[in-house]
Amino acid sequence: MTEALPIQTGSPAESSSDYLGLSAGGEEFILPLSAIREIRSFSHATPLPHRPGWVMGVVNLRGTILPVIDLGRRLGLASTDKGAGTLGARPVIVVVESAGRLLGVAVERVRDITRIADRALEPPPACATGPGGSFLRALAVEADTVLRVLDPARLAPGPEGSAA
Amino acid sequence: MAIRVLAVDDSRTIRDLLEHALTGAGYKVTLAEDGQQALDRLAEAVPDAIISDINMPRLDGFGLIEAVRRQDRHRATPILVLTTESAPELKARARAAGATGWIVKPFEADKLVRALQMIAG
Amino acid sequence: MAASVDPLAEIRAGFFAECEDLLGRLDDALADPSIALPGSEPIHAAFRAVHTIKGGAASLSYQALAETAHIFESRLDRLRSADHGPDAGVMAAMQALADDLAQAVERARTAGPTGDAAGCEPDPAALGNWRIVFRPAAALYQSGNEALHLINALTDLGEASVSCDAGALPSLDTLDPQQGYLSWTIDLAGSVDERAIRETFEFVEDICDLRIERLTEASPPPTETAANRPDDGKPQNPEFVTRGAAPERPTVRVDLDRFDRLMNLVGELAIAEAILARRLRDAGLDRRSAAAAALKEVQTLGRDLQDSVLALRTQPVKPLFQRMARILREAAARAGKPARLHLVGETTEIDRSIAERLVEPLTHMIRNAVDHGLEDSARRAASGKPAEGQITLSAAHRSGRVIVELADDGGGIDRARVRATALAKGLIAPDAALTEAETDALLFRPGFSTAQTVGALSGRGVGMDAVQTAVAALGGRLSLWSEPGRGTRLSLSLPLTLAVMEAMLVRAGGHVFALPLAATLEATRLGTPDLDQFARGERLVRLRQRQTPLFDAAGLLGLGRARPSAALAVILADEADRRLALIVDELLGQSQIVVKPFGAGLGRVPGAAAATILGDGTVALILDPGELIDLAAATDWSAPPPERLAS
Repeated sequence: MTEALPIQTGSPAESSSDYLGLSAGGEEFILPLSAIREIRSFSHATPLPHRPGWVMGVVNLRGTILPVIDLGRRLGLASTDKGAGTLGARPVIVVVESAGRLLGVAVERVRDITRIADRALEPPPACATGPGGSFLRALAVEADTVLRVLDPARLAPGPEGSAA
Repeated sequence: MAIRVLAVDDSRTIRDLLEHALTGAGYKVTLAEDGQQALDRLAEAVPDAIISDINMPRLDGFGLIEAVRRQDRHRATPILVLTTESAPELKARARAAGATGWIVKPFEADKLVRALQMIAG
Repeated sequence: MAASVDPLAEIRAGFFAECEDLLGRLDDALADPSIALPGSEPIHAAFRAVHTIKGGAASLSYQALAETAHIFESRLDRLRSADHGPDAGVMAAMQALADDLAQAVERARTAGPTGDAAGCEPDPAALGNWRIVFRPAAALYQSGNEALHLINALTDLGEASVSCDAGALPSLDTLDPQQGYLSWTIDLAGSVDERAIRETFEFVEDICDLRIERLTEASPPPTETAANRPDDGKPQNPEFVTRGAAPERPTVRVDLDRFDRLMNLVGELAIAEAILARRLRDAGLDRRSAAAAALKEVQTLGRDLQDSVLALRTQPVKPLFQRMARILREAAARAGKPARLHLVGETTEIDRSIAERLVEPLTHMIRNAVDHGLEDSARRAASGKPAEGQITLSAAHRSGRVIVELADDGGGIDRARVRATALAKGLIAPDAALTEAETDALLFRPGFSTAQTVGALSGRGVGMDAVQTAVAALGGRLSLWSEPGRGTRLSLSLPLTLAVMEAMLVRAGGHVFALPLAATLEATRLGTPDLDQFARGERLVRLRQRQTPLFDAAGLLGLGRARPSAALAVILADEADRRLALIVDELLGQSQIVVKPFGAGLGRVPGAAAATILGDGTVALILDPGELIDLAAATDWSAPPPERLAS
């Protein structure tokens, strides 16, 4: 499904990219579609010892071990599980790739795909206020809406995950 | 019918390269690691042509050619020797030993195949 | 998904595997005492090894390597025919050449092919239309050559018209089939390179009459056209590129990816068998029935299959150790400290991919031992040690793991200096009271380095923490013993294989865990006194005649707690025979499991070395006894137990 969508427009004068809208912790974010490998229905994650709460654990992704994080809690918002309950939607796992590593990101739901012109992107404010501020790659400002673009590279637990 | 080639070299890399080049060109290849093993496989492989290294343990290339030529069936089987030398006296030496032709290592695959065509059709 | 593998990349990988083998044989030959005899077999063996490396390198366009091998080969060639054997000086030179060669192999492996494969530009002056007149001599046929093949090869070069002159053919009764009576005239049109024509006759130019002349408009056509190029479905010339550097993948003769797929399949088969056996047992299958016997047969075969595949995956540590011997010579030469390496247990089998990934940490450990472990000769003489530093590299199997140890007879760890350095770097507080082990552990802290000058050897600020990280990534553990004045010993405990393991599956805190069977001593039911002790917060109970720390498995991992009624404990031992008893809810039985690494994204997972996928598709953690024991030791015993069991 997602593969069939064009990632980039052909016009160099007006370059733009596609983004996937999603909800986590009751708030809206967008992720670059180019970083997304697949979207899976949520399955029980095996918890890992002594990990921060936002690390949900690991699941079996066709024979490999995929770490899964709770995006809501990662961003300092409500847990995805709870958010899912309030929204009445089943959570899904968005599999993103960053620096060659796969990471499962549990979200309450995925929304539509938006095309955003590159010139509409602004760097996130230096003080990075608001939920998940330090995980933002950019703000997409179009007309009267502001969308928050998450940076997939900053979501992963990383080697110091246990300390975070 | 595919032309059958018995390729003999004690280096695995050269054997791999020979096999790759020859099977890629449609030949049916039997490999041997030295002269002795080549002799052991001769009856089974029934080669139309033989490609052999010179410097090998157990039985070297010259010994192999001599033994092959002693068999009536292979008196005229074309034999290419693989050699790292390109000196002029090589020709005489290889010829005197009963070789049909020679290939200087490193060889390019198309040169090898062409040399085989020259001696074995 | 099933990307086809570049055959040339496989050949290159095969070449480097062969180089490892040949470098090993070269080392064996140079270490053979009989090499001192003139024309000895070890000299010939060394020559053959170097010669073979040279041939492969040249064929794969590793020019620099081919040249290094050529220099060495020439020396060995002279030695082969010399009437006296090599003396000590010559042997040292040979050793240095062998080390150069090993380095050249390594450089070729990382840098890829460099040489320009010979490619001749066509020379316009050599192009043209040609007439070839060719009359074979008898010797041509005797050499195994065949005129027809040559003519066919010629017709590949351009548009050919061939005529045969049979005028010299005698009557049949006097015909000698080994004599050449025929001659041919071949006209070639279409800008043919004269050199290509000459090359076609390269093998026979001295055993035939050959005339090659340029055709002009005025040349008369050959008298009789006998044959054009016959199309007999001759093989096509292959495309064969020896250029284009791709970095070598960590392969043995088989691409590791392919191998891992095979391993995974064998592992999945083991799981499927275990599930089938369980289902049949649940269904009430009689153990003495024919079906049960057949199942047993399948299981035996499955086990054999797995062992065979695993055996493919393992290799003796010898090539790895020999590589380390070269590293040591190099390090000792550069540090100016003479050292001798003793290898023990070279035939110990180890997983190939583990062996590959041990190269870097072992290299670093050896350089460390030379740089920081061994004293200079004056200090060694003063303490009555032999001038040559003694370093031992050993391997052995113990408790289902491979133990690799590196020991030196140097000065041992200077703990006062370690402490001072740690203090200077702000790693510890000035008043920190540290045990010897805690001081030693500082060496593994990131960024720690006691080298007062950053040497060329262990330089670049890479500390022992990099070694520890690399070993941990292999599911291994590193431990260190050191005694002042006596030396230092570093021990790596590594899994036997990265692929499959025999495990005990248990349930604790609602989760399924796998415990390596090799480390599982027994399962035991805890008595009331033990449980009472545990409930009071005492963590040492007497099990199997030993005081053994007792922990709730789930609690220790921070993943819930055991059921209040739980009274089952599994006793684990690590390879140093440290013990730990874990309270679990339920034993689920033994099973072969496929070991799946966590991947790079997760970092270290405390208590678990890897994971496995269960029959129902869910993931279970494979607990690591050594890690668990460390975790238990780090747990504050004085604090009230977080998981109090009701009695």
